[in-house]
Amino acid sequence: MGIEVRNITKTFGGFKALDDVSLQVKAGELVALLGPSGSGKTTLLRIIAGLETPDSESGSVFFRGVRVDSQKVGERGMGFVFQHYALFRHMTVFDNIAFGMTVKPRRLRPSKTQIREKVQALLHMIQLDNYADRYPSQLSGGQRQRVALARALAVEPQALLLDEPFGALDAKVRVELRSWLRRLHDEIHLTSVFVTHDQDEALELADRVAVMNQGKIEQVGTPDEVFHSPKTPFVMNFLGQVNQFRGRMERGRVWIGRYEGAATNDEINGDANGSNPATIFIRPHDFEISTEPRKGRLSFPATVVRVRSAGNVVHVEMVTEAGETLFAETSHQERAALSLENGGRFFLTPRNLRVFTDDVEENDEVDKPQRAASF
Amino acid sequence: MKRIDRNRVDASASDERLDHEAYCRAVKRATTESAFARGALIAFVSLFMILFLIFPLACVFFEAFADGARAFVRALSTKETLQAVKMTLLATGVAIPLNVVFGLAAAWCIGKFQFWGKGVLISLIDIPFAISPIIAGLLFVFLFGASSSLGRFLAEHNIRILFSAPAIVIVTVFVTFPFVAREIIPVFEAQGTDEEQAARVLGASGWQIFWRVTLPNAKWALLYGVILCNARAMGEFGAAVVVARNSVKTNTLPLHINTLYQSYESGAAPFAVATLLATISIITLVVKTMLEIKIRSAESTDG
Repeated sequence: MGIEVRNITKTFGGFKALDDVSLQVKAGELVALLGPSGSGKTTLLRIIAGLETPDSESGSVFFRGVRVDSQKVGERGMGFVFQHYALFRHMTVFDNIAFGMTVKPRRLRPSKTQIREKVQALLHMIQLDNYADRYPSQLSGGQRQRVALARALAVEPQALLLDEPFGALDAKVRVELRSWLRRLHDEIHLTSVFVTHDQDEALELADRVAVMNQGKIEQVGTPDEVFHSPKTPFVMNFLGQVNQFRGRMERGRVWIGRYEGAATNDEINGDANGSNPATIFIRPHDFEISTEPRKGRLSFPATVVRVRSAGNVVHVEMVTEAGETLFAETSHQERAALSLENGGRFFLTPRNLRVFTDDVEENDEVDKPQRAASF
Repeated sequence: MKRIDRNRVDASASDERLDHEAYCRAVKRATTESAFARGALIAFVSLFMILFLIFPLACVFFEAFADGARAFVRALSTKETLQAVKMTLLATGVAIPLNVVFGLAAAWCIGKFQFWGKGVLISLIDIPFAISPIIAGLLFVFLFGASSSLGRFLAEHNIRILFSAPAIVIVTVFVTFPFVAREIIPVFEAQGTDEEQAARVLGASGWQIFWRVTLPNAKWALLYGVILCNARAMGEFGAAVVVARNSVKTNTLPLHINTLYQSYESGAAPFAVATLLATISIITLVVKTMLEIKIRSAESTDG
């Protein structure tokens, strides 16, 4: 076992930043803490690192099977990469990376030559061999982030914690650095946890994603699991674009306005056979667009108000009879076949949908097994 | 639709930025005066500076040599002058290290921690700037004088503070203590604690963090504060004159200049001694300007 967080609660003043959170990270795994700002993800990361202490009566952090609550930040053997790099601005790249080794007590400190070799190796790893004498201010954002990473790795931590590692970078550098970090992780297999608010980043980079909201972990799972089988409306909403409808669940049938159709059990969270108001989520790419309604399935009409075709898919903005705006996606061929233009009236049939009956949202029952879920 | 909304926000933000730039240009146009007004203003300020600053300073040097170079050297090498130099160096030599220690400690707690009463502490640090040096001097006369219990206690134990060197040192420390703190507090506040946290995660002890991260980051501001503190400590008159009571033993340079000037017979001597202080002021000014450039360039290359 790598890192385990058990029932951690953290309050700032009256604000509950973390509410009884538990999480397990396997050794060698790369886990993303994904959530909007204020969801508690950074607080959780800082508690794991020891930069923040959880509420006194709440749970504990375990690292490699040992309870580390009483260990200081520097003693836990975890590397931390800060959101804004926090490089020592008055030190060269070399001195930044060497810092962790040079502050060790004398008997544990490597010799000057050992330090030099280690720094050179790390510089090579981050592809900045010739930058040893530069100052952080002379580096680009992506280079600084790599130096911050090398500095954290120089002390040979047993785990790596990264706070919004790509948050301050522009889009192109971000994507490059992301795949570089993934390759690096595949090479060194260091147990890692990173915080992000960018779903693409979490889904692309992580082995598993913990989706956080309002101080709780809503769902933990592989990128596929959280994207394709979201357990809560929040996860559905947060991961990717989604259309949201108010409707009903009536003895196994989904109703949106006066249209209805069957839904599979997989698609329904909550009481499938009762009679409950429900929220229905449909992703834009899950709509089938047709000129006639599909018999026996949930199929409802909508009018095209805008077509955006610059891109590899066609984005269609439509309005339902009830006046709700929704977004659908289709291919360029499909669009041509349907002669889909502004003002056209079409039928939308979801290939996939997700229903959350209101009793699910109100009832905490669904939340609990998720939080206790272990991997 | 979340992602689309986000794009919308971004677009309007960049619009705002463009609007803001256009606005700035307009303001600049509107606030840029005609060439004549600009020239007149610059001429006025320059003339004022020459008349009130450079001319008097030049006069000091000119007057200093009014009785010839030999008189100048003689004025500087009298026993009284040397004693005054010693006194000034003593007061400054004690004030600066204390100032550095106090300044760093105060700046550390104000710049890096959040606590109740922080605002009050910041205002308290400024007290020496707010009150007249004469009042500061009188304050210590009351504190150590025979009318207070502390004064009586000191008298009983034969400890002499007032009207002797310790009093000069104490008032000098008092009037200068905000300097270093005031320079470092903004630096610490702007830098936050990220680098300290990074050092801590890397296993550095509190002591190592201070010497290797915090202090180097504040070094130019610290030096700047020290320079200002030095200038003030050497030039202090108002508070010192109250607690020194014009005796040769406790005269600092400014007090000594005053004594010479009051005695009428000394001719160019007060001006000769004054050149010492004037030279220090000029050096201070130059170093201060150099440091300002350093600090500005350090800020502009911030990580």
